[in-house]
Amino acid sequence: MSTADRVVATIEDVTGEPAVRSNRDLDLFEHQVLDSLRTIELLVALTEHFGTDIALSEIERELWATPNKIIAFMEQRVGV
Amino acid sequence: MTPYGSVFYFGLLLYLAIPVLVASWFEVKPRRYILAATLVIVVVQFGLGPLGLAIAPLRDIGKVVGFAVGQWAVAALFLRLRRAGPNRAVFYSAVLVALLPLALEKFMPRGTSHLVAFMGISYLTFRALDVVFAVQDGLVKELPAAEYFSFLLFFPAISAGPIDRYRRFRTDYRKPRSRDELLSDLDQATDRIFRGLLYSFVIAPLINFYWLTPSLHRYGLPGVASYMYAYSLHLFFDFAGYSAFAIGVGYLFGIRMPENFNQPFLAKNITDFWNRWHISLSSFLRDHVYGRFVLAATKRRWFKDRQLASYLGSVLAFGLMGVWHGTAARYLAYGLYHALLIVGYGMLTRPERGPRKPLPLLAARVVTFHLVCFGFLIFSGRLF
Repeated sequence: MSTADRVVATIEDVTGEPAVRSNRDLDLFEHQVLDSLRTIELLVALTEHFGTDIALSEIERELWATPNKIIAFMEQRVGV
Repeated sequence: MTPYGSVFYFGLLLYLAIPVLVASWFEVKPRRYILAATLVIVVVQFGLGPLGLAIAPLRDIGKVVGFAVGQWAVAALFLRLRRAGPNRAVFYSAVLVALLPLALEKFMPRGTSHLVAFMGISYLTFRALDVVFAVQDGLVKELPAAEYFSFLLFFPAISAGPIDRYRRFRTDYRKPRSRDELLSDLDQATDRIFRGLLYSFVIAPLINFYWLTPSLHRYGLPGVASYMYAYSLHLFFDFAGYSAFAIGVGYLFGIRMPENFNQPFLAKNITDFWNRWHISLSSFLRDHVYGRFVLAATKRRWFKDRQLASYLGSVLAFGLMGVWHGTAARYLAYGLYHALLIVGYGMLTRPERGPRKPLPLLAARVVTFHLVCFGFLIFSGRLF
């Protein structure tokens, strides 16, 4: 499985929102798929899933606004 | 001298901006000059009386300089210790020492707090803490003194924010801007400064003169309600005007500080409100207090109900926000009131309670507006 697929699966797992699969440019905060709590849960899930440390202050809302942006963030971290 | 309060202040900062603009035209970032201009304003602002006439005792400048040097020493020492790897005890000690001057200012007995207090200490403390957090997270690996002081004391925001973040500031501070960027920055600066003039010098004084001050002497429910609306609107225009000045002047110097207000009275729920009101403070508390607490709780599984961690985190963050404004009972009540609203809203909209029909948008806005205004009524001190 590619990083992108694993990231999307993790997002769906945490948020319970299947739309993140079909629309990877969905604005997650605008559509209340992510809020403060879920962002942190997603961070913990991605940390556990990929075995890499992500610091809380690294994620700005702008940087994690859509599934595609989160994929780009993780790809930069762990490769494609 | 009060920032953005006199023609003298505006004149001074516009003259100080000219060399930056000239340098920017030649695509040079005058970093040392930005620090020098900041120090000039610090000396003038804290060295002169409110109207720029009388000379205040040198003690005030001493307090600011002492505070800044002390915070730098804490951050630099912490950075050296952090290089050996993260250590929670060292991290907490650094946070506590960085908080110490503010805590002294807040909790020292009446009549002695002026020994450490200066205008803007709460804002500067949060900016200093942001550096400590970034060092702990391993995101800041070097701390050049000039850059640190430029960030901490950056004069447009020194007295009332916005509370910028060190890593964001650093990006702007280091990168020279192109001519195109300069022109677009000038555009933004003009927009913000004129908005500041409109809000601070036209709308806020009009509200104050024709509505807020008269309603001070009206009693009974209608009188208090009228005062509540007047106070809330005045607070917004006064504070948003100040922020607009700060952000606008920041743009002149090539520092694009974060927005502080985004039409807060159009918020459709209380969470939305805190994404629109005093944004730099609420996002600071969200990331550094709520976020860290919930992250620790989630990782170490402190609570069975994950939502509970979120509620407790909100109480912690908003309680702290209350005390940050002051130690009077009304400020703590204001923080707890908002914690209650956020937790209540969270419980009402829990996903496991199934989808629910939201209020019509207009009704949601009206309800939120009134809940928020009641909060400002508590904040104002009119009730107790």
